[in-house]
Amino acid sequence: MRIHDYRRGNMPVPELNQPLPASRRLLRDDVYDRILSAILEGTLKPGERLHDEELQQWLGVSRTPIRQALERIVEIGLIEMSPNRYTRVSLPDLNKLIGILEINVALWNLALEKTVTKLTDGQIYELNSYSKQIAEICEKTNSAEISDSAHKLTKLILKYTNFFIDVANNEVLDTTIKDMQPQLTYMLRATISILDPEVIKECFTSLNRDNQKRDANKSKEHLEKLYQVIKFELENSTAFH
Amino acid sequence: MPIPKQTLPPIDGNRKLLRDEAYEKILNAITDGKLSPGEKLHDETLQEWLGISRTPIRQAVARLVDLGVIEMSPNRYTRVALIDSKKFEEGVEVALVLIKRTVIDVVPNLDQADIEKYKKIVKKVKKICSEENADDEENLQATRQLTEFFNENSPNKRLVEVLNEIRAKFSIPKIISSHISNEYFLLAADQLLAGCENKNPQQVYEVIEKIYKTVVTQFLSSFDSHNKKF
Repeated sequence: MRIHDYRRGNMPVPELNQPLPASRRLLRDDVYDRILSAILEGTLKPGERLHDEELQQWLGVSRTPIRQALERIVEIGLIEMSPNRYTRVSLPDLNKLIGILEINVALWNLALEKTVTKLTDGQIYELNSYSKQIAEICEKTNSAEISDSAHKLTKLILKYTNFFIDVANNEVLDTTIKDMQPQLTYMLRATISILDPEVIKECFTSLNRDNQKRDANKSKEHLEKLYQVIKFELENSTAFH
Repeated sequence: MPIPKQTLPPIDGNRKLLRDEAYEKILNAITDGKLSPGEKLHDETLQEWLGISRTPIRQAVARLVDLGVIEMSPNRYTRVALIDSKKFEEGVEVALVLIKRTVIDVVPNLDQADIEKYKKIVKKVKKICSEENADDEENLQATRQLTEFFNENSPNKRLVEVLNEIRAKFSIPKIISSHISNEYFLLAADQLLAGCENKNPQQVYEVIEKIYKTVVTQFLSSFDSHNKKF
């Protein structure tokens, strides 16, 4: 690409061999990804205070992109900021989790309704493999150990349920779910140890059985049951009160 | 260091940020249709309207761009997003499942005082809808309250937020109010009230679902004559 003549003044401009990519990644996007995964993986624990200087040191970038990234994480609810008081990783809030779970269940229901009757054999095969992995983790862990596999189990559960969102081919549904994903992942991981692995296994096994039969109504019923069970256990747990 | 005697109220640590206020105000204006799809947004006009500086406005606009309610092309325009017909249908589908959930959460738990409150809303809607030359704006506000009531009573604030964002994104309240006749609203208002009195969420949901589905059909047919974008 040649630069226009009027720009070729005193400053020498190198000719570009390759055009810049149309949408380049900004520094703040990288910072956002780094901080977000540190929270999701549990390196930054719930309640941890975040200090500008330490973040600058860790990430090796200036204050501005860090601030911009933090603001975006505040929007998705994983960081709490009180002006001039603190910036910290949000504490998992059971009511918030139940609220988000309810939204997701409503959206997953829509996805099930649109897809279950039309699942291909290949898709059923894929679902089976997730369901088996969920069952395996649940069998191997007793309640005391579930927090060690919490991250893996949470990811698998969301992989299973979001599978239908991908197939449903509704862009609005897709973005609505994806917007809430980090917060749901974070809070589910933090609270999943409250749940009885036996119950999770049982719920997913039945849900998967209905999906194999391509029975959308039964499948929706089981998803609702799963939600009610989780809600009941969370509401009656003393762990976070 | 001399410290002034405290005469001012203590600083409110939980005060709302300016950018959050700007976000809500702009989002509301889009939901109400005061800012309609395609309308260009200029920094100066927004500053004048909201009475705040550029920075919080920019932050609010950036969030609305992420949400898809505002479209931005650098150095060309910042405008309220145009509505795409396929996405509109998808948006209504998603809005309906969220409304269904809200109604299921709210209707069975309504007490007598809530129902009295709803009666008043219905009365007001019926009065405005039967006026010969009702003001469009008044009409929109009144009919919005018919469903807003359920959102206000919902225990799940996040769900209501998500629902409102989708309704704004597709100008749903505005489109409903311009596609549904006043006679229809008169009928629907009574049916909604009956559903509340019977504490029957299914009955309430079906009335709302019918309105939304009617709007989709009508809106999409008007779409075809307007090409792909509205």
